[in-house]
Amino acid sequence: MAHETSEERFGAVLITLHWVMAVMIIALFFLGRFMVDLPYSHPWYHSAPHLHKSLGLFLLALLVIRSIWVIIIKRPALLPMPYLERITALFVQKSFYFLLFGITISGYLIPTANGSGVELFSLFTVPAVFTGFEHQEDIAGGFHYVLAYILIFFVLLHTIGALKHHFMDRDDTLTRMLGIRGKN
Amino acid sequence: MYRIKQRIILLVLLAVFLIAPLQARAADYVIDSKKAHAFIQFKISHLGFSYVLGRFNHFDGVFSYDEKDPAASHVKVTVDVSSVDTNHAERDKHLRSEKFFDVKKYPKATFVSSSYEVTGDKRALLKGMFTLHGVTRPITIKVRELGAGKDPWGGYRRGFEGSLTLALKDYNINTSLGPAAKEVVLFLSLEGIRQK
Repeated sequence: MAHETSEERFGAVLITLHWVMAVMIIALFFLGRFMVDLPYSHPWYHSAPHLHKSLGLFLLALLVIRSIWVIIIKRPALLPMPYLERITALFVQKSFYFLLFGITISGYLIPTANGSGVELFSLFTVPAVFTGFEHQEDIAGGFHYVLAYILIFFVLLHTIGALKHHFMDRDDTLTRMLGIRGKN
Repeated sequence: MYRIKQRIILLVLLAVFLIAPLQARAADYVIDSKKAHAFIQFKISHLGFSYVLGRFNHFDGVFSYDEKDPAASHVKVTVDVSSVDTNHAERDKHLRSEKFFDVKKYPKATFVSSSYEVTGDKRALLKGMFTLHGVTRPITIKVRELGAGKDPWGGYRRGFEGSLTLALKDYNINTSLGPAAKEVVLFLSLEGIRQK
């Protein structure tokens, strides 16, 4: 049942973006972790990074759409909660946007460092726009790595927070992101 | 005032000590890596089907060469390993990582010659110690003397080319690239400008 974002409820677009991106982010993290240790002769040596890059670019596109969306349509306010929890929740949620932009852009800067484009699922090639910076692939790679670990830590905090609200506080924090009409 | 004088004297002394050794090597040559008339290139088999070619973009070195006594020649080259360039950013990143060169830990590769043995017309064997990936081993470079003479800009230049084959395993680089890629062939083309 499609509905729009209001003061209390998340709309269908935001809910879909939230869960699609959540799955992609977690998949990308583990795919990235996995692919860098593949031996040269492994059958997935080329296909795993190809998938990682394609999904990453796709995630960046979704991130742009979502960022515009939350600027245009104000997302519902947090449910009542103690000040410290509120600050933490907001900080983690806002950080996701910055972290995700940082990770996807730094990721894109690795293979494009010497001017080659990146393929999006073999559909088309995104050209390199920023190249030739001395050791660009290493510096971008360093950021990509560190930011990804910070992100996954925040994902963990975010998940713990959601579960705590659902099972301990018994409020609608999680159910409203699932698009389920809460009890309150 | 006295203090300033003291400092000036100190600086002059320091400058003399720093510059003096450079001038003592007056007959020596500096490898012209700045203007890129010097190349350190390599090739390694890709699965036995073809070669990957690459080079090191940043290095510097000096050599001495006396036509009357070539055996007294001496060479020292330092390579910035992180400048490895195979025309593929991800591969270069990979080569710089711990799996291959580990440039954070071993940023420099060096060659210091120990002997120069003329073997024929314009041919020689240059022996010395080569350090890569923290491992120092003796190597022999097959050298061809290419030419020497005045350049059009008032300088004097001398050039050589050389080649050698190294086994990755010898330098403790153990990440497998397949059975065809155990050795790498290096090709050097180095031009030196004589120092006045």
